[in-house]
Amino acid sequence: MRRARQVSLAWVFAGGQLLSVIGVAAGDDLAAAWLKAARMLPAEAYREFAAAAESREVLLGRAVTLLNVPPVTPGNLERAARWLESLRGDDEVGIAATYFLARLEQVHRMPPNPERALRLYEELYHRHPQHPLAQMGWVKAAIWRVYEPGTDFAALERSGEGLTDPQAVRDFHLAMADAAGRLRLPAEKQLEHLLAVDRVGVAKRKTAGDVWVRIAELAREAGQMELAREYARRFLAEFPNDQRAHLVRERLGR
Amino acid sequence: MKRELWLNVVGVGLLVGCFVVASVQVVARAVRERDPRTITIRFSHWQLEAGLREAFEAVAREYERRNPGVRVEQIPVPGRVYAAWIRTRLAGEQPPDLMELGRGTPDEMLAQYFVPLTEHVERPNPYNVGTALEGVPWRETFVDGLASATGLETLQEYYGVPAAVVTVRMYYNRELYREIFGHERVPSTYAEFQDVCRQVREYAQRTGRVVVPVAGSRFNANILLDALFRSQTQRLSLEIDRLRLLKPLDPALVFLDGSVTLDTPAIRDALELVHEVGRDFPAGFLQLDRDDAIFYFAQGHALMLATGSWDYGSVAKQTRFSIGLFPIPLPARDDPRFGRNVLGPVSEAGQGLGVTFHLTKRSAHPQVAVDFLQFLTSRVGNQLFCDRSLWMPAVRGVEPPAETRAFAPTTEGYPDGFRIALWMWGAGEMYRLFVTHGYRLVARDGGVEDFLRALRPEFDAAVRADAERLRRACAGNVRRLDTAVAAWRMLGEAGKEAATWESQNQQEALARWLEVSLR
Repeated sequence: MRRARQVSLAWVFAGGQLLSVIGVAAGDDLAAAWLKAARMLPAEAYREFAAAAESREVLLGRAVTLLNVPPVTPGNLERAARWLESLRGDDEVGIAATYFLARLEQVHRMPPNPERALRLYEELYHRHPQHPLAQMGWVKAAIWRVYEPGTDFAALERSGEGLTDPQAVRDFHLAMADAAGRLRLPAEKQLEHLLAVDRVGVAKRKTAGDVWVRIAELAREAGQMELAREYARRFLAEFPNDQRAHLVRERLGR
Repeated sequence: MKRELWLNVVGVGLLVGCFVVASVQVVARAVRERDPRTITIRFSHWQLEAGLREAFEAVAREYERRNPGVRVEQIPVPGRVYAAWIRTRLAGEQPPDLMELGRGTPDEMLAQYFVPLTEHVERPNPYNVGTALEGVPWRETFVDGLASATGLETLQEYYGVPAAVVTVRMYYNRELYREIFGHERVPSTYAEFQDVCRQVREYAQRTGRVVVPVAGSRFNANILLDALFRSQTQRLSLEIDRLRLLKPLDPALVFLDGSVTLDTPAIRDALELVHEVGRDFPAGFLQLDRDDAIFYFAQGHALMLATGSWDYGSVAKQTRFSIGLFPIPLPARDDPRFGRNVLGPVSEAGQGLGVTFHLTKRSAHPQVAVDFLQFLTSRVGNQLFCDRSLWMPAVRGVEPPAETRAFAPTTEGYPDGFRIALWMWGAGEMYRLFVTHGYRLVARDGGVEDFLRALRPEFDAAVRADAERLRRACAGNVRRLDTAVAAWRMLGEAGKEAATWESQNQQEALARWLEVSLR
């Protein structure tokens, strides 16, 4: 029994090792470096990209890891910007380079240059309107614009109608729902966007719980009791042990 | 002269004796480690409360009995030095196989030194075979489904599993209670609690006996006062909950736009409550330590003590009387002074999971270490741990020990209100202000007005500083996630990429809103 268990655990560990080895054997010698970058070890990942033979993917890897290699310095950011600028184009790496150059300008550069970032997001969206990164860039621009005083919320809402990538659609509506709440717009606005989020589905269990509670609450306030009960039931079925469960049950679930 | 010589001989003898004992231990350990037939795994923790080490020992011995050839050793380290100790061990590349880590562990530390357990938690725990949890993914066997796992929000991986749940209760001296009141009907509301405290003071005056209503220290008073304060912000939390999340907000966000101020009735009531209960502690309690409060209670000089389930073993060991437990008595909804702010009893569902162990990358036997973790958090292992430690289980279906059943989390209740950390569990500028001026609130000659007078001049700046701190934290996460999202995308890990976008965009929106609000 114990041996069988330890053998199965050993397989899990060995499997992990094997995957990275397969990656290397198949010529994808960058998988290990990308995995380090994904696991927030940018310095280690950068060292591996720096040691790898130069290619467009390697340069992209160097640039996006250098954004977070401590200490983050203006010199490093400038170097990353130069690499990204040189990679820009219409292939996958080129599109990613434009997207991350915009990110660099918006949130990494000291001080940030949001105007340039917005221009890059727009350029990317107009050149590749169906590409997921271009659509996510549009979402990033919306998040930046929606809180800016004087922004026309309705116009911004309309601008998101062309989004088709599920992740962009989800995050656009989630961002608009949050903004509607924070900017104290009518509760129906928030509800409308959250229902759109739920239609496309969320990625994280925690977000699902939050979205369902919010829909139930907002629908209750709007007098849409059937809708409120439906979402309360979904929340209670999936999260019976949540601190909010009793309140939700009391208000709507009975 | 002769006496001096003897003293020297004894001194040298002791020194040699210690050296020999230490050498034997070191050699024995080295021999054990070289034995190819024995695998040794070690785990470190800071739970030095009475009963905990014995509980871990019992689980380790049972695991060894079931797994011949494996030896499990615990390394208990005092909490005060634990953070420095783990950093030294990690940097020195000599960590134990498993380490207990707290909630605030930075993502970078998790990523650099620990192994994700995601693959394991999605598979059934083999030690649950033959129980109702057989075939259930390990993750779902925990009372909160690991919803609050460290690193999950940003790293999209499960890094730790908890072994226990902690809750807080009022402890009371049952004999003394019966002596004073002639019965053991404990208070269930704040009004009843105040009545009990008043009668204790009268009893002390009448009999000349040194006894106060509640044993106090900065730590223990904070537990009671924090719960009372949050009872007063329960309704307010929902009123200002613009996103309808039904969760308490960060205090910096509460005060940022000026819709809630220090003069909002619920805030003033909360401060009034803290002031009022401050009288029930012994004078100068803010200068006392947690051990002082337990000692005071154990000596019979205080009728009650507010503390957590983690202290039960220690308190029980030090006292000669039997201990009773009851929930912290919050104001009832019909309380004439404080009821207007209250929703009801606070739900503890899915809260307070702790004693969370993480697998280190340097572990020489990661599969055995995970196997031990699975045993510790199986029905049988967690039952053994809880029976010996008297702590609350983190695993579904494990029965809390009969003696401490009163610590079982209350699930029929409402979300907590927001807190403003008064003396502990806080950070930032608002916290600094409260810590600096908090004594005015509970001083015999102080009060709410005195406290607010001292607080007002610096309060708005402190709120803005804390909001800026929150903005910077969100912005930092957003920047880090840029690299992560690029990597998950390149690796073709669609699920993790989607979860990372979702986390990043939510934090980016909050950071942007704060940036505009702080202009």
